[in-house]
Amino acid sequence: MSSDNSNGNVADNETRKEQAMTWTMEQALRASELSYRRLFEAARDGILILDVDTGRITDVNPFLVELLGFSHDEMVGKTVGDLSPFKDVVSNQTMLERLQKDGYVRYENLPLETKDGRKKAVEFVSNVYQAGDKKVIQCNVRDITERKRAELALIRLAAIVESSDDAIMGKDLNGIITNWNKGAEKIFGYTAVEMTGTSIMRLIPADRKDEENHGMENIKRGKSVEHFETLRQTKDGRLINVAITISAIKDALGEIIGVSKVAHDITDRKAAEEKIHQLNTDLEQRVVERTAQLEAANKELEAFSYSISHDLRAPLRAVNGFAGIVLEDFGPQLPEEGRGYLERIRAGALRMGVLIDDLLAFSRLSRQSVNRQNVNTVKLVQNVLDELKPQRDGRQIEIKTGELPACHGDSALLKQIWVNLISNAVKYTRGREPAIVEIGCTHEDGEDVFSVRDNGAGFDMKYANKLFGVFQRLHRDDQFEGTGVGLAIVQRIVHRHGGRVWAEAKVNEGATFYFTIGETKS
Amino acid sequence: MNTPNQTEILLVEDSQDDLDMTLRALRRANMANHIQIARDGAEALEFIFCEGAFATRKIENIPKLIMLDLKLPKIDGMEVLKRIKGDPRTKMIPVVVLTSSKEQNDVIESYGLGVNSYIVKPVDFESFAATVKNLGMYWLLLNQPPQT
Repeated sequence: MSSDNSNGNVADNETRKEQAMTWTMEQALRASELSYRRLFEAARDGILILDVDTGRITDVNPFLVELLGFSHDEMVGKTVGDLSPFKDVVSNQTMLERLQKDGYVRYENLPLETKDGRKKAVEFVSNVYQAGDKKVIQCNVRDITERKRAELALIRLAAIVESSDDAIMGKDLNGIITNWNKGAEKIFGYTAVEMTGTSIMRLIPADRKDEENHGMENIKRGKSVEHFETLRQTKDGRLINVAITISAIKDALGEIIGVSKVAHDITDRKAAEEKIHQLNTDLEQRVVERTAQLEAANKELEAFSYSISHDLRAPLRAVNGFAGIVLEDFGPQLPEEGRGYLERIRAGALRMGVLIDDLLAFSRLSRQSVNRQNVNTVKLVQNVLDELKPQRDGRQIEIKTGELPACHGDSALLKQIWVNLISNAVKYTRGREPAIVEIGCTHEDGEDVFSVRDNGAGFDMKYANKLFGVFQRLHRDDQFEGTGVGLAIVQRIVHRHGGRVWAEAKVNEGATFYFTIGETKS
Repeated sequence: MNTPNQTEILLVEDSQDDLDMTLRALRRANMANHIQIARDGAEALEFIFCEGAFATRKIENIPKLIMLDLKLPKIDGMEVLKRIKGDPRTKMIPVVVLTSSKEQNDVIESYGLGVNSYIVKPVDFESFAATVKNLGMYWLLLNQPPQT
C-alpha cells in the first residue's frame, strides 16, 4: 500500500502522535493529580490513604493531623488499628476484609480520642479505588462533634418541652400551630396530630378573639414577651383559666417567623382565689353581724345599767326617806332602841346606794373605750395625792415617791388605778405609827412595773385569789369600811390596757400592789 | 302678775314615794301652796300647752318652775323637756331635772336641750329634803325671771 519511505514516514508520524498523546495524557494526569493534591491538602475533612494489601497508612492530610494531634510522620506506616484514637473501635483486619469484599465501609458515629485526650465524634468512610496500577484505600474522617452536641441539645430541649405540665405551643404568624407538646394535649384535650397545621383560634372563646390578634400585634411590633391571664376552651368545651406567655420566635437573621406560647392552667389557683375572696366576704359579713350583736348586747347592758341606776335607787330613797320621816315626826314617841333600828335602816339603804354606784362605775369600765396617750406619771400621782389629802387629814403618813417613768395609757383610767391603790394604802395603814406608803416603779423584762407598798394591815396570801373579785373583801366592814369594788376596778382597767396586776402581803406587815399597763413608752 | 291661784311649781313625778317626800320637803319650807302635779309626761304636756283636761288654762300663765323626773310613763322626761324648750311660748320656763339617773348621757342630753339644772336625787333623806328646799328657794325666791 505504501513505500518503505512513506511507511517510515508514516511510522514516524504515528510515533510522534503517540508521543504527543502520551505527553498530553501525562500532562492531564499531572494536572489531575495536582488538583487532587490540592483538594487533599485543603479538605475540611480528615483523609487517610492506606495500602490495600497491608492496610498501612501511606498518606495523611493536614486536617487529620490537626484533628487528631498526631504528626504526619507519627501516622504514616501504621495501621488504623495501631493509632490510639481508633484502636478500641476499629479492628484493622475486619475493616480490611469488609473493604475487600464490599469496597466500602462506613462508621456513622465513631467516638475517638485525640492525642491530647479530647473526645471527638467522627463519621468514618472508607473506599477502595484503583489508583493507576494499584488499589488504594481512602478513609474520610469527618468531625461531627459539634453536630452531635447540637443534636443532643435539641433532644434535651425537646424532652424538656415534652415533659412540661404547661402547654407549650409554637405557631406561625398566621396563627397556624406548628408545635404542640404533651402539656398542651393534657390541658386542652387535643392531640398534637389534631392541632398541628390548624388555627389556634379553636382554643379561644368567641368573645376573646380580639385578644389573640392584640397579642400578635404587640409581638409583631417588637414587644418580645407578652403575659396575660385569660380563658381558653378545651376540646370538651370547658372554659379554663390560663396564664399565657407569648414570645417571638426569630430566625438567624432576627426576622420574626412565629411565636411560642406557654399556657399554664391556673383554674385551681383561680378557684382558690375565688374561695379566699368568698371566705373574706363571709368573714366580713360575720364581723358585721357579730359587731351588730355586740352593739345590741352593749345597748342592752346600757339599758340594764340605766335601769339599775334609776330603779334600784328609787326604793332605797323611799326606805331611807320614810325611816327618816318616822324619826323626824314620831322620834320622840319611840324608845331609844326603836330610834336606833330606824337609824340602821337608813344606814343600810345608804350603803346599798354606794354599792350600786360602785357597781355601775365598774360595769361602765367595760363599755368605756381606752384612749391611750402619753401620761406623765409623776404629775398624775401628785394630783392623786393632792386629791386624797382629806382622807389623810389628822394622820401621820410618810409618803415616799420613787422614780416614776412616763407611760402610755388612758390617763383618766390610770388615775382611777392610782386613786384606788393609794386610798387603800391610806385606809389599811390606819392605826400605824408611822404609816408608810411607798410609790415606785421598777423596770423588769422590758416593762415598767408600778407599785404601791404600805406597812398596814396586809392580808393572808392564801386569800390572794379573792382580792380582785367584785364585792370580795378580806376585812370586816367594822374594821375597814368598803364595798369590795376598788380592786376589781383596778384589775379591769389594767386588763383593758393589756397589763397585769398582782399583790404580795403579810398579815399585819403590809401589802404591795404591782401593776403593768402592757405598753411601755419608748 | 300672778294671781293667787296661779301655779308656781309644776312637779312631774310618777313615784308616789318621791312625790310624798318632795311635797313634804316643800311644805316644810312653806312652798307647797301653788303646786300642780303631773304623774306622767303626757299629763305634764297637757298642762303646759293647755290641752285636754287643761284646755281652759291660759298658756301665758307660766309656772315659775318645773321639776321634771326623766323616767316617766307614756312620754318620758327628755321628750317633755324638748317640747318645752322648743316652743317660744314656754322656753323661758325654768326646768330642773330631778332624777335618779347619774348617767352622763342624760346629763349631757338634758343640758343640750336647754335644761336649767340637773339634780340627782340623793338616797339620803336629809340631803333630799335639803335639795328640794334649796331648789324651791332659789327658783321661786332668789331667781329673777324675765317680765312677761
